[in-house]
Amino acid sequence: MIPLRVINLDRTPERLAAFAAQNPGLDFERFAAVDGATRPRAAWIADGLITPDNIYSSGAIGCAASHVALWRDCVARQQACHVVEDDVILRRDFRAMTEALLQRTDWDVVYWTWNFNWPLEFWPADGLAPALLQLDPQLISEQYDAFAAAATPSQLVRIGGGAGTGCYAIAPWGAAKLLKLCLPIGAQPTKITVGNLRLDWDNTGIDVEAARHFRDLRAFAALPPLAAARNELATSTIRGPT
Amino acid sequence: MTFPMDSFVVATAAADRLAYDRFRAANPGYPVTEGFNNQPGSVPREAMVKAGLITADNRFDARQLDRALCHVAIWRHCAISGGVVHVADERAVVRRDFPAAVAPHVAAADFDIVVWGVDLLEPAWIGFAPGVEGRLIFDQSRTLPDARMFQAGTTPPQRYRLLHCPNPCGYTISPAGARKLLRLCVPFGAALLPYFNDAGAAFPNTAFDRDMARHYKDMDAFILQPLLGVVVEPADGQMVTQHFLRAFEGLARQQGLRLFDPPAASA
Repeated sequence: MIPLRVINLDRTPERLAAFAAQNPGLDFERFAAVDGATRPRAAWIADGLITPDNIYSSGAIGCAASHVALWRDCVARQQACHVVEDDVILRRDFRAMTEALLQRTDWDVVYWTWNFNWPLEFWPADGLAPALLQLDPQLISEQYDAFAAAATPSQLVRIGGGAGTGCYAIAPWGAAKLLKLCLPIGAQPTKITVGNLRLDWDNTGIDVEAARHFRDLRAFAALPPLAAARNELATSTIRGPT
Repeated sequence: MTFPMDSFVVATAAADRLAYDRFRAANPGYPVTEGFNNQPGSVPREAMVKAGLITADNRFDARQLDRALCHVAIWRHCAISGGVVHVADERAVVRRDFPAAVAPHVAAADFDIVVWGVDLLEPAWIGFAPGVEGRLIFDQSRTLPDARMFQAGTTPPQRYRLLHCPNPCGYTISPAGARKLLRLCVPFGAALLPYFNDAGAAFPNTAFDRDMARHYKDMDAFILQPLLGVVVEPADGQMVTQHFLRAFEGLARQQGLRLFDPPAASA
């Protein structure tokens, strides 16, 4: 069974307790999150995590360092894993569904959720241009219990863009690619193009950096998603008050 | 008239055989049921009002009126025939494995309508799972669909709840669904049509399929993903899509995104 590793700061045990309560019966191992504020910015630059022009907040640096550490561990172990942040609700059939979907081996990274307040760009069928899926974030926030109890089969769709690192599976070969493509993390924005609209998405977090490279990866998302991140600014340990 | 399973009833507003030939050329090997085309404008508007097909204030143009008549005729046949019907727009390009791909989703009597093809011009609002709903915005303004690649697709589709979709180019309808559409849509009126639950988006009721879209949320309506049919034509219109792109641009700007290139003149 693919290990499920939950990122949690030492100073927020209440979030881990809430995660366990929201996902009863789930076997997981805790991964002690890196606290970005505990080291000077220069140390992260010296370590090769970021470049001098990187604009991440200390929380975003810690988040990036945590994910990068898990990618390195994935490569070292040569074993895929699920990376999960501690504000995520998993569907109760998460294990069964993900095991079935990951029978295929042609993937680098599979997103089981994304930030629903931001569109997911994916290829809706062979031969078609990418489409944008904009979910209703308010609706899911009102129906977490129904979401968790759902048994709707999911399919994997190839993605070109999206936000969030709430819950994803990463293969050892995918982790190696992401490490090579992302590090050191600079300030290059992700470009979003849909219709006549062409936008720069400022590189303010590891999710933006990863999304920059989706087209160079075999990146997929589950449709419908098998997890939901609360992604609440007020309680975020990345963007909110720390 | 009965409809053989796995044949397409091609609905067209064309007055001649060219529409059928066009469909056959794009979709070789599929049997086609003809007979649902009319000369646009051949039925006087006053006669349609009197027959209860449209209201007096209906604003469909002659072509759209004829398209509406085609589909109403198909629904009426379906309602009394007792079998499901695959209905395709004359412009539809259909995946080559259509019969096998669609079969699991229309085998049971648990649906009114299964939309399996859209013209990609307007978004579809889809219910993927409890709490997971949203709009799927297609984009063919940059790249037209590659018809050959699309038709060779083999990814098994999944069926999701369809809540709104103003532009199907292919659907399978059950007798129960046909009866519901006849009851809900006819006579076709003129009310401004809100785009599902988005208060900021609405469009004039100028076509039968826009009227149909109003009622999917009250029906056992589904859409397949991946799609099994598309229309390969340059994008024009995209009224609702443009609305959502503007909304997305507003959201993006709120979140500090910057334009990296001036939008095209039509934006």
